[in-house]
Amino acid sequence: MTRVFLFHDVYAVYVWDERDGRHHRPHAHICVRGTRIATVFLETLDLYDESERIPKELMEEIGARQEDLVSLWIEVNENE
Amino acid sequence: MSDQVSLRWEQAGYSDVAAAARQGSDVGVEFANGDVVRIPAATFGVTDPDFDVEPGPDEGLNVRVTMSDGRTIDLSWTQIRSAHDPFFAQELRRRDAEQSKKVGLRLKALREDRNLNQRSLAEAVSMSAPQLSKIESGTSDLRVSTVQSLVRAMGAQMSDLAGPDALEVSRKNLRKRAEQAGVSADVMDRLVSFPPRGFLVRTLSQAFGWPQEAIVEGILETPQLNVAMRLKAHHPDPLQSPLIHLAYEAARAVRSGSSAPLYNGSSSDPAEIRSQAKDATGRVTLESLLDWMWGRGIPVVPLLGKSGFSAAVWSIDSVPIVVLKEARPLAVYWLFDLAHELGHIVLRHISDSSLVDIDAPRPDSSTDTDENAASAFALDLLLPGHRQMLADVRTQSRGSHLRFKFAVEDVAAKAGVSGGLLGMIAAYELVDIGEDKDRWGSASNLAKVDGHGRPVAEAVAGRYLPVETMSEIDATLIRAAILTGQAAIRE
Repeated sequence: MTRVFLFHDVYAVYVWDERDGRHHRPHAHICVRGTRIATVFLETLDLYDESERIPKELMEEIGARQEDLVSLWIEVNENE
Repeated sequence: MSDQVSLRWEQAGYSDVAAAARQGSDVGVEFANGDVVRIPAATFGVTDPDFDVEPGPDEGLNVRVTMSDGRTIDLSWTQIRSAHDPFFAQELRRRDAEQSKKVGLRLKALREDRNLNQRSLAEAVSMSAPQLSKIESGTSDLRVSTVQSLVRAMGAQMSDLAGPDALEVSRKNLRKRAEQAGVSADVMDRLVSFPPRGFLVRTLSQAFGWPQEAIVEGILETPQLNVAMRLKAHHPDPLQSPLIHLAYEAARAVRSGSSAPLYNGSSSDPAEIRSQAKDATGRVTLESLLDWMWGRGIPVVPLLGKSGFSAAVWSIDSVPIVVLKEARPLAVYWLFDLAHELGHIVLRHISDSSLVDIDAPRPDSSTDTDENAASAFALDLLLPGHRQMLADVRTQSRGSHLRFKFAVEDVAAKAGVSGGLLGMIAAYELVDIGEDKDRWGSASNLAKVDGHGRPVAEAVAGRYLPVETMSEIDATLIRAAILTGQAAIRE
């Protein structure tokens, strides 16, 4: 499991090994103080399970790091 | 699946690990929503009988399993939940399928917009064309690294698959579908190519009322405009073109952002308006009338596009706003249409609803009282004494179309009016002189002297539209569909 970055000391973005989690499309989890507040799919940047509004600036940061996040997902989930 | 079941992963605490411990040969986890689950450790590949379980290191999002030799496995909440909750596992599969479909369609749209066929792209990434076809239809369980390879092979970036402008149809197809929906190619070409990154879908949605999600999928159905308006047309049941929606939105954007003074009513006397609106040479020209109208608080919007309707006058917050289109490019037609729409305003035809002229306004032959009155106003404003002028043209033409053009020129020069304008009216009215094509050929030649209407209308509108101070979406709409740069051609 990898915490990729912390945004404004509040929002933590994680990418992790999900090979046993029945998932195959790359995604990251957005958490605040130990609570997941949304899942973002890294190809489309679509949000699921948004329990609170995700700041536009955070989505821009995720967009700016999209290539890196996708590469990290591949590293963790596809390199066997 | 009931709603209650389908929504439980959206409820607080479903994904948050509160406690974790070994329970016999199982991994036991308590979630923050109170759920307690037990899953055989073997499910996660744990074969060591002497293992231990504790909450994981990452903010309650995982559980750590430690083997007797010190090795650890971190289990994410999704692994634990999907191993225990078949509905959640099914939801994950549904999301994956949805994402695969979107990614496939977006890859296809990118390929088509780059004019690549399936075979050449497939070759570039060493796969077969049928394989690529499956990926593009979203039916293949494609690897993320494959998506990366395809994106790179097209010279694109992952960001082209994401964000508000990532379409699931190519822009080429979007244009085609828009044309089928009634948006002419000239308008759509500019609206698709002009907006800055991130503004394409929002601009199209604003312009035509198409829902944003539907645009992404290429479904373009314009809703009825919820505005009181009358459509004036020869056809008893005219179609409501999406361009009318665009016209209203353009007028609304101009209303909220223009620097024109507030409209405070106007005389309905064409002679009085003529005395105020004439230029230094004593003529009412397209430019002088535009200046007068904007200066009086009547914005005039030169909207891009040739089809859909001819002209309109909207009443927005009691402010009249004229929209002119380039159904006919020459300035004399713009001038007549403008004066006609001004007629509708000063004769109070829009006091209870806006008005859209589907067909080009004509000086004659309408059975509609308002249309006739607006055209009569336009003639009195632009060509005072036109009845006598027409009689003089008829006399000097002596029944021959060969003398028609010179007769118009001579009468116009003596009266101090535009030969192009008089020629247009004479071509409509003096039907006994030659054939239509002869009169209109002469009229068009005379009209060319006054040039095109759009550059003039854009130049005047540009003085009253400070786009840099408007909202981004209004400024984009105005730059795409109104101030298209034609004014610069005139300069």
